[in-house]
Amino acid sequence: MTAVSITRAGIVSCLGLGLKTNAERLLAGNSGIKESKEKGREGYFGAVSFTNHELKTALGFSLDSVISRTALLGLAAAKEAWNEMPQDENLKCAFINASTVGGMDLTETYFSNLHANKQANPSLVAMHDLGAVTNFIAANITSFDYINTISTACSSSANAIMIGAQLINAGMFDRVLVGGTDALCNFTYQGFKSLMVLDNDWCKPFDVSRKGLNLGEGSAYFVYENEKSRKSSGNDVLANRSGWANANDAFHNTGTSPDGIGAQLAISKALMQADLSPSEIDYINAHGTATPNNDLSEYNAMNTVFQKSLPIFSSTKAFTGHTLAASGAIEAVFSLIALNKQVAFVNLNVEEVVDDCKAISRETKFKHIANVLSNSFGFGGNCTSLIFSEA
Amino acid sequence: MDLREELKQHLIEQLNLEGIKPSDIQNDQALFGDGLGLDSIDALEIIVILDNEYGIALASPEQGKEIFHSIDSLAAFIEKNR
Amino acid sequence: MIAMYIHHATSISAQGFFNALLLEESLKKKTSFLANEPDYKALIPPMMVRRMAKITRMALMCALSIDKDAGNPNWSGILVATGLGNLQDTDKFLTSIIESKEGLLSPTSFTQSSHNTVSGNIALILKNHNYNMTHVQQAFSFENTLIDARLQLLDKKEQLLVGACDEYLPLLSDIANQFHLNTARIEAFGEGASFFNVSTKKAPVGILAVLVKHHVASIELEIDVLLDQNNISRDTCFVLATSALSEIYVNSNMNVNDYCGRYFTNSAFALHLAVSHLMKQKKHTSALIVNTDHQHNLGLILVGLE
Repeated sequence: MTAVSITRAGIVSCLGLGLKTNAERLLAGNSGIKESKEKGREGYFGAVSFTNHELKTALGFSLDSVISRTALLGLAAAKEAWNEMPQDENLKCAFINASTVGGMDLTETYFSNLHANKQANPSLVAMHDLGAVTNFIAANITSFDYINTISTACSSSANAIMIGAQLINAGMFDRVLVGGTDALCNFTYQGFKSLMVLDNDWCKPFDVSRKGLNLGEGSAYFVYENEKSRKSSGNDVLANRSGWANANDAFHNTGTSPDGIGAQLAISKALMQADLSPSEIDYINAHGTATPNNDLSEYNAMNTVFQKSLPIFSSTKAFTGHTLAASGAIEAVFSLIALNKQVAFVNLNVEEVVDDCKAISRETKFKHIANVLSNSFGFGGNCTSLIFSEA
Repeated sequence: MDLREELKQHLIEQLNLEGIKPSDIQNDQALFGDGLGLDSIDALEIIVILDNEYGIALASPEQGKEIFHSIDSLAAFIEKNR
Repeated sequence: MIAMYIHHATSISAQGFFNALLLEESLKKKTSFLANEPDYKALIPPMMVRRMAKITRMALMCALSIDKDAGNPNWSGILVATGLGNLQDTDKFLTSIIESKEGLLSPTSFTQSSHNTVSGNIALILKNHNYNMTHVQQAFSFENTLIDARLQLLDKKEQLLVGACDEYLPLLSDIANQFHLNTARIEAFGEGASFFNVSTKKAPVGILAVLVKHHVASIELEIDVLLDQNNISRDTCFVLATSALSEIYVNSNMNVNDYCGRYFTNSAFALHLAVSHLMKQKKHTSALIVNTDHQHNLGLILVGLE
């Protein structure tokens, strides 16, 4: 098992700012999804309850600075994770970020201004590309030796987490900040609406009557440190990232195959990589977006791999909504909390479960958790599974 | 223009069926699967055509499965509902 | 540095469609850099090409050519770089949001606007179920993809399909003008795609080193250190320079921007040129691609004859 040590984490979601608040609400079964009655944005969303102004103030930027919400959310969580770790010039540090939205929240304003007034402020698009958002976050954390951004739709930050660990294992870096961020924006809302995959009510992951997803936003990061780095920082190990795999469904641009081939491959390869048998997984944090398509594919994939040893599982997307690129990292941090608190989180808002499956978590369940599997599946058939193990 | 011809034009345009002429699409030919080879994204595009061009709203792609079988079934649905 | 060999390369750029490792034609410098496109229907299924914007068409044409040349192997990984992603589809969907008053929006351009549309479409057409990644880091997206390729080969993957693509949109020039970017640089905005068959199996040309360095004080020093570490003397090394937005490195043998224009992933086209050059002559036994960006960061790709 080529485990990589995780020492610190940070998170922002509709459950709140920081690990403590997110953990409290997860344990209490208290969702952060709210109904929006805003014209042109009707529905249920997992919106972070801080405005851009509040985020800029908290992060020390002037109110008139032009910064994408994706970058602000990202920086808030990255700061909690990095927490001013003292720089050590003998250590090589990398930052692997993930996003799909990037600065689109500002770009769409640029476009509508351009359309209405025939002119628009170009600084609105300076942070459009994903690399620019990553550079912004990096510049406000520390001086990294290597910076990269992964973008594979909803599996983006899970892939950033995977690659970050490979960089440490390869001996290329001592300390790697990994994770992802995405903000709610009209482009995304209109896009998912045009695909008819949104639920106009609170989403119901793995329920037979589920209609679709609720969009959310947020960010999460954690820090990998090898032994040399931990000697310098003095940080304790929170958990280990012990397994990972990425596979492709190769079925459709946006839909998933009924049998969940890509998911099956990702889960089984992650298990092999971690040198664990299916029965050694104590809890699965599913991707569980609550679309009719995803949940069936994922359920079928889990059953195929786990057969009679399907452990307790839940989707936490009825807590947070689908946070797109950030979902892999947010749910990875939830997996760390699960290990820390020895708990399987409740799958909220489910009545009649797909296949009447008894393994779904209908309540917050305290139990011994040694290994957690976390799934993230995105457009383009991109499937990533991560395994986290107790330290 | 005949509704069926109009529908074929809409499909060719909205679905970017490059190199296909209306005369290449038979009225009773299966549009999905092995026929013309349309997929689930095309189904959503047809829902957009029904809404924007004919004022008929479908709540979900599942509703469309029977209706979208062929040009004939689409035309019949429009004639009944507009 | 794990051995990474290049078995085949394809590129589409202002120079046309090159489907060979060795470029027989001698390139001409250009003054405008829109891609000189091939007939895509020769390789991309019509029902898929109909939805694809230029960036996806260029990339798929290159990737499928590599796949055909390699005999349709079961690639253990498909890795793609793009600096700006699918701009045309993004523009189209944003415009449709603004222009539609009420009523439904067409989903196609949204589904094609994800940054991993290219890597996803390659896997879809090839029915490839393996590792699939997309890197989006401005001028160093391609260098990062090569670093990822190396990581995957270290992880015992064997044969990788690796490439890069970016497309031009007139809006980019408008925005650059608003930012008062040097006019000559704006006029040199280009687009293209380049893909490679990379594996640990030996081939005439291998990638010796790939690195990205931040806030570099002296480019010359970084080059000297890298060549020194690899026991390469400058006079046997063919130096190619690229840049998307900034001043280009001056002490090169070839300014790649003059041939394909400026776009974030043009170091991939430079790699194709570098490999071809090494195979065509005897003086240089190695080649170095020097890629500079507008924030004093530096990308270096070093290739050598086996």
